Amino acid sequence: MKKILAMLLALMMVLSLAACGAKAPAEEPEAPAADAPEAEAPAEEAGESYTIATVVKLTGVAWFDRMEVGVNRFAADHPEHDVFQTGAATADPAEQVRVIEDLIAQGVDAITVVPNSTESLEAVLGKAMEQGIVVVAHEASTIQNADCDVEAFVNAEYGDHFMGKIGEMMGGEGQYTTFVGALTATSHNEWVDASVARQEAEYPNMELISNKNETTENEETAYTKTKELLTAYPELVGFQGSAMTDVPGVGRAIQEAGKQDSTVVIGTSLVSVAGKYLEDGSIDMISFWDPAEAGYAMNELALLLLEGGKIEDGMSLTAPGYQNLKLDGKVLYGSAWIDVTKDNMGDYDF
Amino acid sequence: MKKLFKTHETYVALTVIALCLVIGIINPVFFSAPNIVNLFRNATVNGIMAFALMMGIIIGGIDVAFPAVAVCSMYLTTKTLESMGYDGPVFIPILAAALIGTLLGLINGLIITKFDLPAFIVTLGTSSLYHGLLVWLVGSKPVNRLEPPLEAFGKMEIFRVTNDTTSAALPWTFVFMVAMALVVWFILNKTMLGRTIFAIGGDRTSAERAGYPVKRTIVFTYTFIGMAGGLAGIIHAIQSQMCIPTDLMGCEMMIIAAVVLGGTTISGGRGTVLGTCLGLAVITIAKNSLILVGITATWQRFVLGLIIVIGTAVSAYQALRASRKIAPVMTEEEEGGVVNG
Repeated sequence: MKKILAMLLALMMVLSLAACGAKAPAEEPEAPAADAPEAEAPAEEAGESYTIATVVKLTGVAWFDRMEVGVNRFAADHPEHDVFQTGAATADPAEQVRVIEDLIAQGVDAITVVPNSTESLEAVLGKAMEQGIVVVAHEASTIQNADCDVEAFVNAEYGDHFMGKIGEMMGGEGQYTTFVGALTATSHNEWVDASVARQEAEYPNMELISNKNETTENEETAYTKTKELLTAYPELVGFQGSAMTDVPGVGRAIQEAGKQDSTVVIGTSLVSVAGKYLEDGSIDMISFWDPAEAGYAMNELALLLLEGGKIEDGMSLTAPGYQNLKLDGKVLYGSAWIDVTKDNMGDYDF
Repeated sequence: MKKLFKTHETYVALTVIALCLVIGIINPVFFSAPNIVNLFRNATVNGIMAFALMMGIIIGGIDVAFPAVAVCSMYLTTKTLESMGYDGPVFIPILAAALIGTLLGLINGLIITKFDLPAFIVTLGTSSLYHGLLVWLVGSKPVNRLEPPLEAFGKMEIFRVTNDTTSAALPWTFVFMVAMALVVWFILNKTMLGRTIFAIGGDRTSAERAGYPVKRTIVFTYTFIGMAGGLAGIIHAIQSQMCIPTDLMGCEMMIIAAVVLGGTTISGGRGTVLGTCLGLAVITIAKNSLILVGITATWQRFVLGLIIVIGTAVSAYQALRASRKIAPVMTEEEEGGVVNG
């Protein structure tokens, strides 16, 4: 009896996990699946109408909801094509493989994808390419099985850009510190390393202390570490955040300490998350790349390739920030970061 | 005096004092009033969970689902308040979160007792079940701005200390941790319920034969841990002024470490509120002082782990020595405890 119940419980666990991932994608592709045959029939006659699917890491989170805005804008700008976004409800690579397999079975013409794990998608994307499907990736600069990958920016340039602002606002003097979401997060480390490199070259009078404080992507950790840093180093002026929750945590500590005017806090975040600290100067500037523009750019590239175009160094797309792209292998780099201060935070509602 | 040096708490207290001295000698700022107030504030959420979890460990079980319970409670509550634009008294959402926690804890307790399954497996399962259901049904979009009553409560200060370089405040949320410690102390020391919990942890079969209401008490314990989880969740959201449904997940190991460090035997039957206070102090100080000491980020995890291992070893070794002197028969069991700890 006990064994059976234990097994039932285990089964329940497995099912609950599976259920988490299964529901949303099962619902979402339905509409496009129904449309697909209709959309494709004229495609073969006129040779113009394509089905382009965008597969995101997971649905229902702010970041990819915003990406869908861009994908939908592309769809509105190109009504002759069938363009839609889909994805799993959990950030599970296996679920993403399943979604892509569904799309291959539906016979889409192009897939644009933001992989959860680049390696685990190689096989299924290879299968897609074998069937003549155009594959465009994003946030996956090491990908093999794709026609091209488009990145919002070169990580080092983004970090370099941060130090340009911090150094300028600090007048090239004083102590500063940096935060990363995880010591193992490649992009965060590349941003901070580039930033520190620029400080060493350009602002020799600035002093780096307690480099790469690890926040585990947790706002409360960023807050408690900032309190501790302010206690240990009362002269500390500059703070550079990497994870979305870093500068909000730093900003909360700065706000409580009443140091809004005497500190410089800059990092990656979103207006919805950091807005309340941007208002009073607890955070001075946040940067991010707009997922909507990335989604738009991926679809533009997919359509370009479907229409027989080529990717080349220096090419430009219409999505803002994706002009004069730098080509490295099959990776196209834009310069699509957006700087937001309290003056222009009203322009962004995500 | 001799008795004092036999208790486990004495050795954990010595560990705390040694830790403070080492840190304070390296950086005297550690002893500044604002820093100490910050430490108390930072212990709040972990403390609420640790005191309740201690009961679960004393009874001879374990609960690893309380972080998921905390997340469910805080996220469901803040999300609901957000959608209705709540502007009522602050105790209603706090109560609601505690109730959600109570319900989820009750489910844990019922599964464990009804089917007589190991608590670790059950709570491991319900942990991913609760969190999975939450993300599936409600999503994972953070609540970036709490409703005004919660936001205001989070900024309410009991007192504030200021020195020439910095200042720090103890928020009213701290009261919840003190209340939780008192309630747990009262249950364990002053009620029949508490005696039952110790009896079950000491020897479940004997407790059953002696006529203690074993199953009912176990259900109560997990329900109580659930309630504490719900409370800790909403307090976490109030303190961070936002609610991200991935926060707190994974914090269970640090809390278990605090409880075990404080002398609660992982096999059950023994544990005190004072000991857990001290264990919590070790964890909180260790987690929040490594920057003060000047340890670089890459080494912080290592040093934190080292402090936990040394802290547990010091007190466990003492317990081992004591048990060898008193009852050689007990040695094997105690050694098992050391390895687990």
